[in-house]
Amino acid sequence: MRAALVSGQARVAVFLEGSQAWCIQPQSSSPQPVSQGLLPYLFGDTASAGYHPDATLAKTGEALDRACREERGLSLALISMDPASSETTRELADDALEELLEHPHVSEFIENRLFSRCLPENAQWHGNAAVGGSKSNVRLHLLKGSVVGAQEAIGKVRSAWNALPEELFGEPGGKADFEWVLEDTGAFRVLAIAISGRTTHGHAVFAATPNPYRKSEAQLWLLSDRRYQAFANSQKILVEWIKSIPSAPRVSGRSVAEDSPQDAIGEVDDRPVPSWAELIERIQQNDPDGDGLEELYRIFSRGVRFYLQRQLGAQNLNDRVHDTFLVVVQAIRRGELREPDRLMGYARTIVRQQMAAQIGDDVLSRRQPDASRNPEQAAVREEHQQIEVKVLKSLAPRDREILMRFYLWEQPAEQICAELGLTDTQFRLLRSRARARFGELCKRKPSEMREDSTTATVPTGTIRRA
Amino acid sequence: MVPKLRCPTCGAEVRAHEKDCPSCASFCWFPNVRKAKEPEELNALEERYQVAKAAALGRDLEPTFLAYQSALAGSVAVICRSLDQVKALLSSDSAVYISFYRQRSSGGRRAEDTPIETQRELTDVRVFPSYNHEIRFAALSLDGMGVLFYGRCSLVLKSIAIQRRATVFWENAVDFCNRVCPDQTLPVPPGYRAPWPMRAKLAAAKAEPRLGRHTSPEEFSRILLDGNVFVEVHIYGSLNRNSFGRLLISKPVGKADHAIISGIKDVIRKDGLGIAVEEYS
Repeated sequence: MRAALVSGQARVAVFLEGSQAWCIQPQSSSPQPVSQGLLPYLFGDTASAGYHPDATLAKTGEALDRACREERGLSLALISMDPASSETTRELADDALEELLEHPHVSEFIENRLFSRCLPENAQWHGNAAVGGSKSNVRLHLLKGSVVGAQEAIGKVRSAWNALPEELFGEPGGKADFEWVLEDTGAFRVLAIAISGRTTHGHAVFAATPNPYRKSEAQLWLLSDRRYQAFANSQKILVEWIKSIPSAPRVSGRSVAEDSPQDAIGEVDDRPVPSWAELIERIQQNDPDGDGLEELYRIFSRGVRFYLQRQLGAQNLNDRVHDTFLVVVQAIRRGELREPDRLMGYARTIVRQQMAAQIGDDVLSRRQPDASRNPEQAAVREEHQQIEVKVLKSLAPRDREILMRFYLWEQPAEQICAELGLTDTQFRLLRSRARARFGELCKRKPSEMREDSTTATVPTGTIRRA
Repeated sequence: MVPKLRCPTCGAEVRAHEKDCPSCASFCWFPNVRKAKEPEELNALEERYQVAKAAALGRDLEPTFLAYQSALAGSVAVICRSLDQVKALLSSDSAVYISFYRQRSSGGRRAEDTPIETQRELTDVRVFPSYNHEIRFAALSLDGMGVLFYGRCSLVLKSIAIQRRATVFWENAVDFCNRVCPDQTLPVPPGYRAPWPMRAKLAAAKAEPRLGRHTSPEEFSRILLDGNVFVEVHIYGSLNRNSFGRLLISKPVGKADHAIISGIKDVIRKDGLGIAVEEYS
């Protein structure tokens, strides 16, 4: 048996293999054998430790680092807002917290908790404290602003939750357990953001954009989250909760019912919405007017945009949304989605995969030295460019033109749309499709490529544009 | 056979795990202390102590043995926690901490559902039948340093906060049961626990084999508490931030440590907790 117990609060992890146990602490250079007898008491309270089955030693260390950063971030945030803290302490905490907020998972961990209940009245973040402080602590400044600004919404979401009757949860303690999972996974934060019309600190820099996440999409995401489905009546509880949040925009004559994605979607606007099964069937049948695709895109794009923006920032956001959308649509058309009701869960998996791939690419590109300094790498690079040119030539003329205009000649989207007679949406979809095709062909052997005879001269250069 | 305990006020029977008389609610003392004071336990401990003392005498180590025992009279109970946990504990009256700091894990399955927690329950039920949930754990220490596996900060309990309700045990209870009496159906053998005032006797009896001709008083701390090896302190009832008299913290590493230590000092000063903070390297 291999497993690990990890606690960020206790700043300790235990790696278990068979009957052996090793203690791992952030400041120690190597794991130390620890008596089995100490294990039960090592964390103060084992409820503060997470259990990771099938862990490896390396993964345990990584999990501990992550958990320590998260808990440390929360500790510093609490010190920063604690009226008992002196000004010197607050400054120290703010500076240290600013560094930790570089890690998106730390921001998310802190936000998930701070958005789950209102700040106490005497918290130092209220009023001027939220906008004051060191101007160099930009991330913290935004975090404070978003938390303080969302207090009314947080209060509404919390009140609605508190008002839910215990009987709804099936068993004694069920409400507390579910509440903890909802807090930990950010459900309170998502709903507070949705009804406040604000963004979290990760997005506050895009304050000019409208609220990226409305209550209806929030409901949809929560209902499709499998982590909640282990709880009795979870769907009913979530629907009841969201429905009772005071500022909920209700659609006249319609109520939010259990297990009804239609109603959750229906709140986006007043248009009637088909069931998942119906929608997927229409997409699979390639409906000629494209209504199914449009419908799916309308449901899909806001949530995905929100999530991607949160994780990767605004750069290339539209491209990423469209790429993800295409992958989902292709999966639907290939019949890979066997349970229509899992559509949103499937979409989230794709988003995460896209995100992981993007992060991997970024890391790789940072690690790669300048190819021009290394003859061998320069030769490889040149070969890649030749392949890219060949692939470009093999694309359909319109796909090729769009890619060349946008990526090589760096023409603005508006100009391309005007000159090719495309709408903005059509352009984005075509560009995403062309790029996907381009990527796919680049992976093939050169001998498998066909070259289009109508091709004009293609300049060399890397297909990469921000 | 241990005689049935009677309430000194009304004469009603009081069960082994009850602190108060079920009939008249009179205080009938702490169950762990009552257990340690049972004649069977005291006799077995005395026998163990005399055997150890004789062994020390036989090895011409009686002065060292007695010096160690004497030093133990000033031993303290210590719990170790991380900086973050100490800050949260000392800030437990703060609305900010009440709102947002909760001892729950992030990610993964909750550890309380694991076999480790089951083992803890099994041992605790054997050593503290029916009152295991009332027991808090600490380690006996001479220099104020605790079991650092539990965290870099050692919180020293005030003697006045625990002396009436604490007992000491030969070693970590789970290790002891696994080693000495793994059969869950048998009772824990007597003579391995002592009331707080008799902790020196128990710890000296335990340490005798580790004392040598050249053992100096500076080494006593290490003999009492060395990594996984220590005398466990069992405290009945809750502890809070007013239960502590000293806090030993390792020197801060990085901005975050500095901030948290500064926050700890703030709360100690502002709330008048009277805890002495000492840094060690």
